Amino acid sequence: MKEQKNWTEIITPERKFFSLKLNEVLDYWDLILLFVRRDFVSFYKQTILGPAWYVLQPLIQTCIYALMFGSAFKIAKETSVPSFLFYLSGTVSWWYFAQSVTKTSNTFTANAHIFGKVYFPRLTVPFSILISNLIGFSIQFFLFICIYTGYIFFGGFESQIGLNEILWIPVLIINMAMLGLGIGLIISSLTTKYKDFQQFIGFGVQLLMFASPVILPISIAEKMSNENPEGWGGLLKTVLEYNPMSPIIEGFRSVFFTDYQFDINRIGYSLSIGFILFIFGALLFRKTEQNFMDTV
Amino acid sequence: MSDDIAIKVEGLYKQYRLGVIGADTLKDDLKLALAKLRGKSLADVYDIQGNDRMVGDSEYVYALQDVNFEVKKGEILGIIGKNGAGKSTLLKILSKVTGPTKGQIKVDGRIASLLEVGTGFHPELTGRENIFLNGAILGMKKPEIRKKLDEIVDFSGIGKYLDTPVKRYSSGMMVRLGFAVAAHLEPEILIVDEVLAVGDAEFQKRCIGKMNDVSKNQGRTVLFVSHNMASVMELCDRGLLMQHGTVHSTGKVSDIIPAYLNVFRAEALTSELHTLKTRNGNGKIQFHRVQLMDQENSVIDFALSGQKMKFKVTLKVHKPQEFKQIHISLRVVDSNDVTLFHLSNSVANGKEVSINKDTDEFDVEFHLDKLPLNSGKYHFHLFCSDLQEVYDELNFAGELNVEGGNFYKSGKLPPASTSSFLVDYNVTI
Repeated sequence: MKEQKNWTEIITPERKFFSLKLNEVLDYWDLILLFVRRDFVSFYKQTILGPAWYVLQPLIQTCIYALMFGSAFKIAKETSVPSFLFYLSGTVSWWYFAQSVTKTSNTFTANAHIFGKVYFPRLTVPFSILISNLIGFSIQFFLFICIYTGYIFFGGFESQIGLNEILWIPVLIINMAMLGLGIGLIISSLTTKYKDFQQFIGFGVQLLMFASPVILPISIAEKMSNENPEGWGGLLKTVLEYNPMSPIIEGFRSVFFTDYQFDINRIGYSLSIGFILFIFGALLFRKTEQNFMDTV
Repeated sequence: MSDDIAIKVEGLYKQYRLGVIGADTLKDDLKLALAKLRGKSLADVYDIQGNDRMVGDSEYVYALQDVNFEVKKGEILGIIGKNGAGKSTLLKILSKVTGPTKGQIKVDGRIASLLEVGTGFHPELTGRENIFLNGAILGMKKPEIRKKLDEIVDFSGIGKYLDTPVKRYSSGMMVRLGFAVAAHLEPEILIVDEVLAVGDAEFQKRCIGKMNDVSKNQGRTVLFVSHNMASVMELCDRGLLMQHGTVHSTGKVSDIIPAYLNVFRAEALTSELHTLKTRNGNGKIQFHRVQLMDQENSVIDFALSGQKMKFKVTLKVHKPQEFKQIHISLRVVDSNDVTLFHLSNSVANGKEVSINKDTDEFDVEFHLDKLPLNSGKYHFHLFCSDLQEVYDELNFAGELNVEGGNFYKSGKLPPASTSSFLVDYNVTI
């Protein structure tokens, strides 16, 4: 006997792996914005410095790097870029990626109490995290521009902004978002069963940073590799080259510093890795969301 | 043909894994993946056909087994059953919080579920902000919420606290605000789980009124899960009784509630209480036996209206020690589990009782000078606790059969169908 009726929805155990239902997520656009607002407000409520923390954090981090590594690697002598600016550009562009990974990676565990009570597209939560991080990133990016202009006016530093490269900034941001979200979604899906990944993510992101040009420019790695191709130097260079975050950080630097070349092939490589991770992460996330309440 | 059906549940199963998820889980997952590769389905691996809820080496348990039912549009269906009968699991699957293991549910219309009020409230946000957040989580659009904001505020009675962070709210205010938002949802199907257990009596009344209004006047379907038979009776037209993960029976609420109570009674007919399994509490003290006695101290099977009688309850102490401030109570209920009267040592004597460390068994007797019940079948619940912990709680611990007696010394009684409770009074003309 055949059902003639048009059901609004049929709940079944199996779900097609390749259905992202992004239109459903867009239906909940209001909710995403409210989550963003919630995250932003709860971030600075009952702190004395409030949103200033967005600015202070990268500044402090940059000072530490500049003091610790600035002289050791003699970056100022290698390039015409002041070491403070160099490290700030790295920290700021790294921050968005790192925040997106760590915050989205516990989507399921952190929201279990809500997810266990009511259904809404679960992808709204990681998307809202991306957007709230984008706000933080904009603030930090603005800070970088301010300090950059400060160096031009008071530090005798000559502007090196490449006008063509500026146009690539949105692409770089989208690329970072895809990479961060992709990794975050994969980790959050795995964490529902094996909490080991939650332990891993903390130092994993840290480790990835040391394998990126945030602290060490690729030019120096190349130099080390030439001196010692079989040993550490060679390994470092390979790791830096394959890290999909490297082209993004270099991309940002190429906008502001002439020492760095904008390499479209490297960006293309990074974009495709980002896209694959994002799609795979989102599919895995969708697959997990149906039954995660039983295991989390 | 099936146009008036809102929900159709077909052959629904839900399996849970017992025990801890750890390194073994990985091993099991691999085993399962291997079985899947060889073309076996999940059902084959765990042999779903077995009627026992435990399967295989009992690592997996079925919370739901072959559940089938339909809900018509505009109907209020009450889902009842004992703890662990699978009610909450069913609701979770219906509200898409978790997925079924096998079977399917066909739904016609937008579902909104209320498994908890105030889901997603953030303590730092104000009442107004939380209304929007909570509303959006429940699936409302911003303009929709804005349109109803005044109504919601009015219904919750939050008033001037609207722009205060909800962390400063009392718990009652939070619940009221949460329910107010949920009540103004306009889904075709509303799923409600015991939210009425919270809030004061007046608010509960408003909630029931609202739910009635939603279904009767707006033609929406409501699924309501509760342990409170009084509110199920007041609210629902049809009932669905669940037992051990299956549907025991469905039908008119007036037929289903007695069936539900019979589930308890079947276990509770004995006066030897220590054999009963469905009990709550930590068991440091347990009800052992209960006996009905007349004034000559002989055990009786039934009592007469107006008779002088007593309940003799024997309690056993699991590990003899000193207990302070013990409270023991007995609650008599009618066939709909509505409490008729409540007896306890702390109320009658004005204080709790202490037990010294040598006692391993003691009796409590509740004396009634004049049994104030009309003829009929009643039950009683037993409860024992101190100020901090619950020692033992037995629902439907025993049956109390009452035959018409000479309560009024006139040989007459009001009809039992209209009045189960008798009051001492006189009339002057």
